Amino acid sequence: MKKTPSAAGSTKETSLKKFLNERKPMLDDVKHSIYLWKKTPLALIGTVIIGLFLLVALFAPLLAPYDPIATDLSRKLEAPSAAHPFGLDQFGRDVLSRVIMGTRIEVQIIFIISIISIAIGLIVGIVAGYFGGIVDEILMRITDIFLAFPRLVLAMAFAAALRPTLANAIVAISLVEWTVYARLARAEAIKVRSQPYIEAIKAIGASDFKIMMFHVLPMSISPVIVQLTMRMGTIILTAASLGFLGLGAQPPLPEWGAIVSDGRSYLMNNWWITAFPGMAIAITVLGFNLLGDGIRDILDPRIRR
Amino acid sequence: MQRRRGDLLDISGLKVVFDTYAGQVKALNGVELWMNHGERLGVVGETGCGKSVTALSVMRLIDEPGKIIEGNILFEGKDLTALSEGELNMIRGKDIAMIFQEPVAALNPVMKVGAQIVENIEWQRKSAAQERGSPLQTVQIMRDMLKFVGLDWQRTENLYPHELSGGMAQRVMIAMALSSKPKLLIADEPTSALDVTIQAQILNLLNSLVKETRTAVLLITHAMGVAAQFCDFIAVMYAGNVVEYGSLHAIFDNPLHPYTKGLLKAVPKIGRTDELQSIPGIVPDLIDPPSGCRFHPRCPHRGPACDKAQPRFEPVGGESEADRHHVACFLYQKDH
Amino acid sequence: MELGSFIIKRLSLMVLVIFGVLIIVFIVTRIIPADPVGAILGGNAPPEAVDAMRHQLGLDKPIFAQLVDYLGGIFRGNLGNSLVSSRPVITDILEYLPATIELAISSIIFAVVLGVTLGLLSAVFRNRFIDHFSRVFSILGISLPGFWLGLIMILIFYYKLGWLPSGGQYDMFVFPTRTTGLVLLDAMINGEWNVFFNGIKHLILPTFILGYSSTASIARIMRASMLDVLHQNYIRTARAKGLPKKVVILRHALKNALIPVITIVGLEFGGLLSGAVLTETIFSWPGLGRYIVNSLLTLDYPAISGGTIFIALMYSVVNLAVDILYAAVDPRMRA
Ligand SMILES: Nc1ncnc2c1ncn2[C@@H]1O[C@H](COP(=O)(O)OP(=O)(O)OP(=O)(O)O)[C@@H](O)[C@H]1O
Ligand SMILES: [Mg+2]
Repeated sequence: MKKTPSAAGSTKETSLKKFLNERKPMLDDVKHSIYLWKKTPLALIGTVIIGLFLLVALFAPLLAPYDPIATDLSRKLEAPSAAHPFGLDQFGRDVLSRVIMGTRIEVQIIFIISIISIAIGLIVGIVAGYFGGIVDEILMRITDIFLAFPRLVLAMAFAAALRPTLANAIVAISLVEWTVYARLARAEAIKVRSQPYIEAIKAIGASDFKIMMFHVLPMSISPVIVQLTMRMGTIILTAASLGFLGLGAQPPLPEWGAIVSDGRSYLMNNWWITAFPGMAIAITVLGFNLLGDGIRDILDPRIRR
Repeated sequence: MQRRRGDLLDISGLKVVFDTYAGQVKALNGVELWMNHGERLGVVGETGCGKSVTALSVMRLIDEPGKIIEGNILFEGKDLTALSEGELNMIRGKDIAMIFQEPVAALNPVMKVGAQIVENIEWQRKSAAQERGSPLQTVQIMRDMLKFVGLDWQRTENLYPHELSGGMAQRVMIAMALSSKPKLLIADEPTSALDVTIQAQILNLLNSLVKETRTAVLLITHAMGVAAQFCDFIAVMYAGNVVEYGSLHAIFDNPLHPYTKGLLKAVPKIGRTDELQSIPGIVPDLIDPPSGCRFHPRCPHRGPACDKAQPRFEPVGGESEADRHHVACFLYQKDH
Repeated sequence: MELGSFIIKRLSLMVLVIFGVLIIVFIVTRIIPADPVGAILGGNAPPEAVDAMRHQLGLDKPIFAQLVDYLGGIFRGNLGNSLVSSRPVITDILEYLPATIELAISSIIFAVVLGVTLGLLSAVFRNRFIDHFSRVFSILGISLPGFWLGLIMILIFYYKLGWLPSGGQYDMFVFPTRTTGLVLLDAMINGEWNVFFNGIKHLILPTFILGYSSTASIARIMRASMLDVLHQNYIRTARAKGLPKKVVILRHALKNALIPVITIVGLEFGGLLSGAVLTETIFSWPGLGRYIVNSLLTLDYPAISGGTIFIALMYSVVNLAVDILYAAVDPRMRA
């Protein structure tokens, strides 16, 4: 919001004002939101979990006590101890260090998938909603086709076809995730398109591209971001599932799902290889879900009263 | 306890609050109201003054976060505030029935309207431990009721609520409410959501039906004109209090409370059904209501005592008992 | 009448979508893979072998001709032969399908019954113990990775306690007679009660793992929807009739509150099929999900394409059924 491109001139300003005006009740209610936030302990817990998760990712190399991929077969499968709280895996690698370094991979996954899927979703949704008619019809049918697959199954197919690597898993999940944002952006675009001021701007001679960029896009962003916070947990679960099935990150990368899969053959006697990375997934996803729930509740007018 | 003033309903000192995040809404602040069998009482007042809350209190349908904190509601001598849910369910629908402002929304969208009426008839029999009555009989009563309210039962009984117009839906609600022959019908703005022409139809229908069945009616309305047309007694509410109460004649020919006078100025002729004009000033915030008499900030006759204490709700001297004329205003307090 | 035309409209849309599904699967299995033959034969296969394989797969033809062949094959019910088992893919699929259907049905029943009950109790006893319990149970359900929880359950109930089996549809020493392919149904038909109870024992953990996240979503939706319904005017009307709370909830609120749940059940079925892939892998369940995983890992393209198409088809059919059910339940939809 701080950057105001001067190129768009006065039309830009009015739309900005309008944008701020429409958001005004939200801004006015920041205090109320903070109040609600504090009153929702679960949302607070979610915030703390995600905060910790990001901090661990940021300082992972400092926090990890050992090298996450250095093997030491003489000490393989050692049980948790003071020196190795999460134990050692079948190659004698420190599970705690692997889990800690894994946070970086998960952050990377979330970040890139969010960007790609939101970019595709916004383009498809805004174009469909803004132009309407046959363009809308075609784009929405394509969206329907993607939605006709169970998400994980389609992501698996893409990942396998592209060759299983972490990067390809990220692309594969993005190719499945964008539909969520496309539908949201389309709804916003339809709303904006029918505003009388858009007619006026058109009459002045603004191009479709400009209108979409400066009028529709800003309106679409906030619902998309809200939705994103609610989908992050699912994104991690999907990536971990691909890793677990061997269709995502490959060894020796310490991706959490892949580590769980490593431990599977040693489950009976060496449960720690499976248990701890799985717990890390569970806690992180829980954090995102609590946060998403909190945001949804806070924005829900029925609860706001 | 004070003496019973009305043999059907006698509300005294009723206080209701709602706990919201912004604070406690003191919605009713000692409501006084009474009526006898077969009478028609109109409750009028601006929006938010507590008319609906009063009505729902009589049904004991005030939900979280609201609660009755003080007062009594005597219904034929039984104190409704002291009854259990089970005991209340023997009275609700059977002795006291209610119809609402938005009739379509008040009907279950996934149930045919005939079935909703039948349900009421059946339940009232069961709770009265009467003989079950054959299903055929019950259906016959439902059809008679639909006819009674001027609907073609063959067309109506199998419709879903969304297929009805507002007027039809309100007729269905009336049929349902009266199907159990209640002693008291509470009508909370039964016509406000309807077209003007339909409003008159529904009011006339209601009028003739209650006369025929000798049902007492508590009619809640915005419109003085409607109350004047329909009622024997009027209670004027302001910000959670009944500020003036009395016969139609007393209220219209001899209004005492400055608020009532203000209301009536807005309606020059009896029989006009337009909405109340607003009186200068705004309706007070009930979370932090004005001290003393809640009307004092808007009152043209404000005196020094008005913001200190709440005026007592007292009979007006020198009028006939039958007028029941009461007012809560320091202008008329004898020791003032 | 209106319901009929609604179904026709919905069906034609589905045909269109299914056609799109076939195209996507074609792209995924024939166009995206850079070197499918190399993947099958290994990096240093002799060129003759590579050419022969390309010819066998039809990869030497132009793309459009390949697409026509592919679609033609599908409409004739021919999904090609699996590169691994060398059997027709359709035969493989029909062999694995019943196990998935059995697991999916038991999971969805589990999820709907438990989810609706929890959501209902949660809303009715808002902020009481059962509500807190159900909300914690639900948020965990959508947060815990199913594949991990499954392994932990195996660790506890199989390795540590020995109460439940670790996988498979029935024990090795059990020999069910195959009639429909659905083990439990066959056991009942043939009166093989030992098979039946053995099958039930094997079904418990996979059903819980697969159904848990759907249970959670359904409970959450049900709670929200019930709370919404309980504030509706018609509930006040029902209470004003003097109906006891139980009747108000079961007769007036429940059906209205279930309407949004129906939609979610359709969507959850997609999640269930996704979950089946993982659950079947963990519990060695001989179903379509495990078949797809194996074919993905071995790059068995005909099998991948056949399995994926089948899964998408199942999902679409269930969603169609759900939409129709929705229209049938809510009279407002029919208008
Ligand atoms: N559920 C509730 N929560 C909080 N406050 C409430 C609730 N219900 C009613 N109130 C408050 O009680 C007061 C009286 O409301 P009530 O609905 O009785 O007004 P009314 O006279 O019926 O108005 P209207 O003419 O608009 O129907 C209002 O100030 C309202 O804000
Ligand atoms: Mg009201």
